[in-house]
Amino acid sequence: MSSVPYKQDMPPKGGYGPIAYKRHIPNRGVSGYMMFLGCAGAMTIGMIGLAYSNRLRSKLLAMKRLRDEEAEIMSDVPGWVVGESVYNSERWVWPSNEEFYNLLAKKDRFSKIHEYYLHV
Amino acid sequence: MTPLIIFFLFSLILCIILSIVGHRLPTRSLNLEKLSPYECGFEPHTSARLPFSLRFFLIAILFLLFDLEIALLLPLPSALASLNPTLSFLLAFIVLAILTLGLIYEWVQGGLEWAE
Amino acid sequence: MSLFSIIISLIHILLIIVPVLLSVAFITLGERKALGYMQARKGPTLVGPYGLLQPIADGVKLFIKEPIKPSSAASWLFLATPILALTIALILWVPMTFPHQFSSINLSLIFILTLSSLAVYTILGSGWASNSKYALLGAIRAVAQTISYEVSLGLTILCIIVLAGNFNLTSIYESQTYSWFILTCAPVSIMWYISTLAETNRSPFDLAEGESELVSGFNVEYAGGPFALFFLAEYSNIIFMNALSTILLLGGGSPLEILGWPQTILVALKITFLSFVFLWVRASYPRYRYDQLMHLAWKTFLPLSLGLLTFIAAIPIALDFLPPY
Repeated sequence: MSSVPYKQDMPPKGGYGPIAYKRHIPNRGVSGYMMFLGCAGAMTIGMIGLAYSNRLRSKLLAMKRLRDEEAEIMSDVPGWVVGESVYNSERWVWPSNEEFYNLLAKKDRFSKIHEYYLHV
Repeated sequence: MTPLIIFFLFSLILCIILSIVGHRLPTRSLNLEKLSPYECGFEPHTSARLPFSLRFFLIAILFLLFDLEIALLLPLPSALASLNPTLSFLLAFIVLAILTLGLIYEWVQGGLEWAE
Repeated sequence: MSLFSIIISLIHILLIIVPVLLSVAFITLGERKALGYMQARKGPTLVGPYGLLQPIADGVKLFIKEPIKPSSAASWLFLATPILALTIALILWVPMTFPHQFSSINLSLIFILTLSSLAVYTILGSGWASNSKYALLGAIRAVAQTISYEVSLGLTILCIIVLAGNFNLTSIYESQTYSWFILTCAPVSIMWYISTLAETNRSPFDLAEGESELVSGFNVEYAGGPFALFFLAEYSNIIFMNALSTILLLGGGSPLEILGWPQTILVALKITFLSFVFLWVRASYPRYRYDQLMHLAWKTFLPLSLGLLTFIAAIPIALDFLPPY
């Protein structure tokens, strides 16, 4: 028994390495910055589309009001066709901007004037 | 209006009929064991109408406040269609800011904490 | 009102309620099938071809099972709440646009908000009337969760109506012809979808059910027919919420609208897709903890949606594209 050399187990030279107690979770999915950028991009695209459609709807609504007003004014003129194109063609022509904004229906005209008054 | 009332009455009557069918169609053999409420499979230990955590009450109060705020903001689209949308937006913003301050206060006071 | 018009509206009502109840029946089958295949098994296959008649067999089984009313329960409330739950769930479908609707209510979103708030009373009433601890605890949890997420749902609806300029579902549908609100309100729509999951007490927010601790939540003491009514109401609400998300965020039948084609099939496909994502989420995510749930509602969604409402309302004013009124 005593011939067996005695050997004490010791820590390795320089001590043990640090214990890996921190959780290492792999990165999954897109990062927060990418999500933020993605949302911002989606909102930009969406707002451009919405701006187009809302302006179009406002314009069409104003033209419908104009047409209703035309029908009301010209109701006692026999043979008047409401909303008839001034051109000798079937093709749809948008009114020019000056024509459109100077010939607004009563309701829209009122709001335009007051908007100007309140803003200036 | 009348089609709406017919819809309401129709769905109410349909549900009542379904309920009556569910109660009358099956054969019933009831006994005391079946009819008693249970608790982990045993007889209930105490009354079921137990006192519950006040947190839930606080949540209900908070819900009242914030839902009231939403109710106040509901006319916002009509207000934005008015002659001066910037002014209506500013007014709505003031309401929102006051409620955000209320939320911050509640947060700082610890009303939103669930586990201490 | 003549008898003829009453009969016409009755037919119209049946044409809404019967498909709703049928789709509720088949979404239960779809749920079991989808969950089954996601867990590498087949789901119901025995009743009818591919198990297609399973929901009908389930319904018949539920209605011939013995309903039990616990002796200590408050009798009228206990009997009335399942009826009220299904009635509210069916009435909710009145203003829904496919794009044709039963009744064009001008303030249809307020109608929907009001009725879905009323649905809370059925949960609370049934849980309280059961006079059982599990039912009461489940009901309190369900009510606290539902009302918490209702706040962020309401704020999301405010964002959408500010951009659409109207409470009418038809005009919201029309204003998405060129861009869907899921793009326009991208962060808000993610919160909306999560809130609908929580609002309908679906997993991962199904704490009201909590099998391991509450057995089944507010409807433990219900059996047979009354339970079937609760079940139908719950699934009808799920489909309704997805239909609402389709109309509010996914633009209804939007790409077909420009072409002038019939849009109903596209709307139905979108609703089916969203409902399938509900099932997918159930198969994928573990349940939340209750404090995490409340934390998500009050500390994340509420401040975010307050800020985003201000931001989103400011954009059309700043860039001058307020909706027509």
